[in-house]
Amino acid sequence: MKKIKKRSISFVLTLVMLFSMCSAVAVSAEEPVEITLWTFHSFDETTEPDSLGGFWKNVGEEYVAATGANVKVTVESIPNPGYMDEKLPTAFATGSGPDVFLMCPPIMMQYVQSDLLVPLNDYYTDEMKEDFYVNVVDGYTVDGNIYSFPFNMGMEVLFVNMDALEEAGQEVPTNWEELRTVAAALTTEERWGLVTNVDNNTNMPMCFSPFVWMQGDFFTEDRRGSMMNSEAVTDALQLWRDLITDGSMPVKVPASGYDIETMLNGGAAMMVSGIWNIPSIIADESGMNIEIFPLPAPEGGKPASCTGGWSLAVADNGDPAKIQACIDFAKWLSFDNSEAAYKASTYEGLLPVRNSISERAQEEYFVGEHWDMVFSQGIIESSIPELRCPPAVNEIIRNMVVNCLADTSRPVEEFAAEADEQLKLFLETYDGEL
Amino acid sequence: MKKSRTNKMRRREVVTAYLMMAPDLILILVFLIAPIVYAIYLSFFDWSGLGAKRFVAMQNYKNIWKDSMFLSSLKTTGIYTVWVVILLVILSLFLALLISSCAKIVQGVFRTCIFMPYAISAVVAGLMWAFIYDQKRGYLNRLLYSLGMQKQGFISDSGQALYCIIPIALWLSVGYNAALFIVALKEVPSMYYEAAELDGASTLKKFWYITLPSIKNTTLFVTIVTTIGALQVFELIQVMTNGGPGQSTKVAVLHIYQQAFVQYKFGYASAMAVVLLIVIMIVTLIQFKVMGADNEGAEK
Repeated sequence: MKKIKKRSISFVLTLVMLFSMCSAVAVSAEEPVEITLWTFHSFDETTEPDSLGGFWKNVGEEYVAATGANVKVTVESIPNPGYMDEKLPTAFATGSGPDVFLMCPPIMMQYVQSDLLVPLNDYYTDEMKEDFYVNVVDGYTVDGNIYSFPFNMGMEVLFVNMDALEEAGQEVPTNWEELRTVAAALTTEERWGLVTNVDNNTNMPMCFSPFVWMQGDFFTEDRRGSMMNSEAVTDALQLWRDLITDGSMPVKVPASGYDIETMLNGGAAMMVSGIWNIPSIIADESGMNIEIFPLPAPEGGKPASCTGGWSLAVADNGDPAKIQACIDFAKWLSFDNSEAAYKASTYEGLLPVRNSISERAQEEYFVGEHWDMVFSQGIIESSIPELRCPPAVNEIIRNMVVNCLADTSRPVEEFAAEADEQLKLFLETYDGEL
Repeated sequence: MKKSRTNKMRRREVVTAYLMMAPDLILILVFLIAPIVYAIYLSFFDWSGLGAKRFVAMQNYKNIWKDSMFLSSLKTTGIYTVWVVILLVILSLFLALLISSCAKIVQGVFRTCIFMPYAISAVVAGLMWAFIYDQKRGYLNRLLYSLGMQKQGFISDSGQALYCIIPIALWLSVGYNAALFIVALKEVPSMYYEAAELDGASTLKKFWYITLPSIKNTTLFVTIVTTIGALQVFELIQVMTNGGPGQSTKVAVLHIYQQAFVQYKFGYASAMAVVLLIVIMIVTLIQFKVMGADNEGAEK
C-alpha cells in the first residue's frame, strides 16, 4: 500500500514537473526579445510626449504598438558629453553595452575596428538607397560596409548678427579676406567678431574641416594617405590664426560656449556653428536679428560645409535574435516609419536624411526665414560628411589646430608638417580607410 | 591547561578583530586594491577597451618615454604641484594662526567663511571661475577695464592659464587644511609658550622653535595629502581649460584620461597610470624621509 502511495506521489510529481516544463517552454516562446537602446536625450516622468525627450522615452512602446513586434525596448538616457566619451566605451569594455545606440560619425571608427557593429548592407533596399541622401550614408560607410541607419543631419553655417553688421557699416562676408575684415570691425570690448569651436574636443574638426575642404582635404583621394602638409590645410590654419591674432576670435571658446546663446547674449557678432541652433534663434524674444549664410570660401576655392548627425547602430552582441530585433527596430525608426523618422529629425532641429520626408519637413516644420536661408543658399548641397577617421587621426588634427592657435611664434607650416609626419607614422601600422 | 585557554581566547580575539575589520577590508580590496592590480595587468596589453586584448609585454612602458605629450604633462603637473603645495601649506598655516589668535567669538565665523569653498565641487567651482576669467565678459576683466587697465587672457592665454587655475585650487582646499592646523595649534601646551615668554623669546622664535615642531605631524600630513591631490588634479582643469590653450594646462591625469576615453588606448593609459602611481609613491616617500614623521607623536 505504502509502495503504491509512494509511486503515485512520484508519478504526480513527475507529471507536475513535465507540465511546468512544457508551460515554461510555451511561455518562453511568447516572451518578447528584450533589447536596450541608449540615447543621450534626457527625459523623466514629467517629460511631455511631444518633445525630443518624450519621443525617445516612448519610442520603444511606439514601435511595438505600430508593428506588433514581440520586442521589449528599454530606453536608457545617458547624458552627453559623457555618453560618447565615457559611458559607451566603458560599457562595451565591460560587456554591458547597449544592443542598439545613437552614434555619430566621429565615434564610429573605433567600434568598426573592434568588430562591434553589425554591417547593415543587406538591409538597405534599393528603395532606401534612392531615398537617403547619398553623402549621409557615405559618412557611415567604411570599406564598402554601411554601419548604421541615419535619421537626422545638420551642417555648419555662418550666423551673423545683422544689427551689429549694419551698425558697423559692413556687408556679409563672402570670402576669407572679408571674413577677417568684418570680424575685426565687429569686435568690441564686450563682443567677439567671430566665435567657433576652437577647443580640443572630438567635435572641433567639424568646424575646422570645411575651411580645409574649400581648397582640398586632409587625406588623399583614396583616404589612405596624408595631405596634412598641403596648402589647403596650412591656409585654413593661417585663417584661424589670423582671426585670433587680429583679436577678432578667441583662442578658447568663451565660458558661455560656442552655441547660439553666446550670440544671443551679445558675446559674439558672428558664429560658425550648426543649424541645430536655429530653434533657439526662433524662440528668442530679444529681437536680435540673426541671419544665416554659407561659410565664406577663399578666392578660387569652392563653398563647403560639414554634415554631422545621428544614426542608430546595432551592436554585434552574438545573439542573433537580439541583433535581428535591433535591426528591425533601427530600420523602422530610420526608414519604415516615416512619422518616427520625421520626429527624430525635427524634434532635434535637424534635417531629415531622406528626400521623401524632407519635402514634408520643409512644408510643416522648417518654416520661416531662417530655414529658408538654409535651403536656398546651397548650404546642404555643398556639405561633406564629417570626419569619421580613427581616434588617433582625429587627435592629430585637433592637436595641430590647438597647438598652432596657441603658439603664434612658429609658422603654421611647421604644425602642418608635424601633423603630416604623425599621420604618416600612424599609417605605417594602419591598413584601413581614413 | 591555562595556557591553552589563553591561546584560545587570543585566537578568538584575533578572529573577532578580523571579522570586525572585514567590511572595510572587503571594500578596500574591491574598490582600491583590485582596480590597481587590474590597471597593472592591463598595462601589459594593447587594448582599445572594445575588442580583444593583445599582450605586448613592456611595449606600453617603452612607448611612454617616447610620448612627448606625457612627459610634458608630467612637467606641467610638477609645476602645478610645487606651487599648490608650497602656497597651500603656507596659506593654511597663516590663516590657522590668524584665526587662532582672534577672539573666540569671531573664530567660528572666520572658520566657516574659509571652510565654505571646500564644500563646493571642483566642477562647479571650475565652471564658475571660467566665467569670472572669461576674456571678454568675465568679471575680472571688466574690473581691470574699469580701472583703466588692459584686459588679460587669463585661462585663454597659454602663459597665464596654469597660474590662473592654481589660486582656484588654493581657494577650494585652504579651509580644510587650515581647520587641520587650527586643531593642531590647539593641542600645543600653553606652558611651552609661557616658559618661552619667561625666557624672553620673540614671537618669531616661539613660532619657529615651539609651534612648528609641535605641529610637525599635521604639516607632514597636509603636505603629503596636498601633494597627492595636486599630482592627481583633473576635474578643475578639464572643466576650465581641457588642457588648453594648446597643451599649456595638460596635466598627467587629463592626458591619461584622454588616452583612455578619447583615444581608446586603455592598455597604454593604464601603463601611464602605473608610472604616475610610482611617481606619487616616490614623492611621498621622499617627503616622509625629508620631513621625518614623529611616530611617537610630536603633538602631545
